[in-house]
Amino acid sequence: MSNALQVEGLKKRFGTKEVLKGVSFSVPENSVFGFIGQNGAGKTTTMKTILGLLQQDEGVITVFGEKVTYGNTKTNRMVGYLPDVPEFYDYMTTREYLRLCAEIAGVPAGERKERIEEMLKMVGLADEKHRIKGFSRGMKQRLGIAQALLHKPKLLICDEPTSALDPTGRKEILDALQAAKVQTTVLFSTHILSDVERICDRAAILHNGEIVLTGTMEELHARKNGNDFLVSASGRGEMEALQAHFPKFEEAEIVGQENVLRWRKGSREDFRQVLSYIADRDIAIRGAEWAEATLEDLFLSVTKETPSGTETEVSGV
Amino acid sequence: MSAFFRKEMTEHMRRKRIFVMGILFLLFAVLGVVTAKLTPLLLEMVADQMPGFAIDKTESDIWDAWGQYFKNIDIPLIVFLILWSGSFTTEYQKHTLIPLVTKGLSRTSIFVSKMLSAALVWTAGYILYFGVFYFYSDFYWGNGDLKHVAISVGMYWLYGLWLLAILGLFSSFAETTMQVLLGVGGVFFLCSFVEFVPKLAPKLPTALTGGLGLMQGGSVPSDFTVPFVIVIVSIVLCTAGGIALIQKKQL
Repeated sequence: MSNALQVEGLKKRFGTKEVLKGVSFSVPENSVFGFIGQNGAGKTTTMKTILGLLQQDEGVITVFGEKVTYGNTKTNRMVGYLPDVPEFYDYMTTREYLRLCAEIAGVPAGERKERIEEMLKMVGLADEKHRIKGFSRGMKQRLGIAQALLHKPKLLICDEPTSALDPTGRKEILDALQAAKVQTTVLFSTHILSDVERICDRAAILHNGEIVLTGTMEELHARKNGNDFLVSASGRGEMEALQAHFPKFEEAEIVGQENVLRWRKGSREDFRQVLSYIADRDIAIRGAEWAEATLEDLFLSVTKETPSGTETEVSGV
Repeated sequence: MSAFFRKEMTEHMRRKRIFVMGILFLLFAVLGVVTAKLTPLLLEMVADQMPGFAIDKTESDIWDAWGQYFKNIDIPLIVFLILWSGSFTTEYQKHTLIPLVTKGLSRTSIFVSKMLSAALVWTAGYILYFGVFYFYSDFYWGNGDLKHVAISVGMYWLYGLWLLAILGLFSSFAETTMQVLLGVGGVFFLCSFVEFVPKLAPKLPTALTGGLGLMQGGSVPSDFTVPFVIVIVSIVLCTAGGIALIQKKQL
């Protein structure tokens, strides 16, 4: 499988602030790639550089093997882009705006009307006849998706497409992105991890201007080596007895609950041993819980623990 | 490019820029004629009421009228420049160009479309202004004595284009509308300052506003060769510079 996008050693500095410190990742064709990071991690800067809207200080970006250049990059003819806060000409109607986009993107004249109606229907704006001026942010986001997909781009880049939407709107956008996967490669940035788990094949975690983790979703899930488990002791004595035997237990601070122990990143074998110890000694507990690790746990662990300058490569993506 | 040019024209229409400019050009054309016609009458009335106040001219002539023509046009030109000063910067600030540039719209097309559409409005407005004024001045005084009409009025049109080209140059890199206006204003005041040097005044672009002298026969077209060449060269340079600078502009 060839790469739709390849980013190598991307560095960008704004004044004294180094926003990107050598970002490298690749997006294989026909995949949905989640670009995860906290606000200010450098996601938008990376995306704008891929679009030739910002000039990198160092590094090379290729889109379908073609090098991206700052300014009028030719690679943009293969790209559809949805900005984080899409702004349009508010004196136009949706159809007028999409017609402008279709003409600029070179959609053949005979196909324009049909494509525009198809896109408006897909994003739920087919009945909208008013000018863009009165549109809500969610409506603008949907129009943004329509304009980004209008010319059937080979690579669709979306900057936090779901962050401003209500649950219904989010579902619609995620469904649209997943549907788009058939004909295009999708790169979308987000800090909503459940969105990544829902539709992505691959993901990369960007933290402090560096990729700290990247791989397929399976690889990322496998990376979640161990889960937390919680044991709720019936009294202080029971809790201390357990903690004395299993030093990995730490007291968990959970609102409204006392004497709860947490074992971070424990294996199933650890959990089994704890349970059999409790059974053998007849230690009174209120409950024991095995908490399946989520992508959020993984995200928190890598962004908290990975020291600067360290990249955790799950596999060669 | 034609798609973006049409977008520009739609924007001028729907943002009421064309309407405002149309009204202004029309209003000041009519106002110029009315002012020329009524000023002597008003002065006469003042003179009647104030003993010792004498006026030697009780009727306006064709030169008073065309004097008003070249005086009044300054205001529509200034309003035009103010209205168009945010044409680029508003798009930079709202990031509205990004979806279009990422679809392959070249920055050269953006610059050229914006400048051409603005020049078109200025030209159409100026023709309206000239047409209305010419009709009324001919009706009241007769335009038979005018010399070099096309060159005289054309020079001011070119002067307007020159200021527009400067506006375009500043728009290609400025961040805010205020910076654009300060840039154009700065060039204008620099010219006004240099005008104090009598030797240099006839060579400056501002000399192209002196169409009245040419109409009256006080000067000949060749007197304006230097400012004409300077203006043409600077329009070309501003356009080339604007196109070069917008290529690297962060949208």
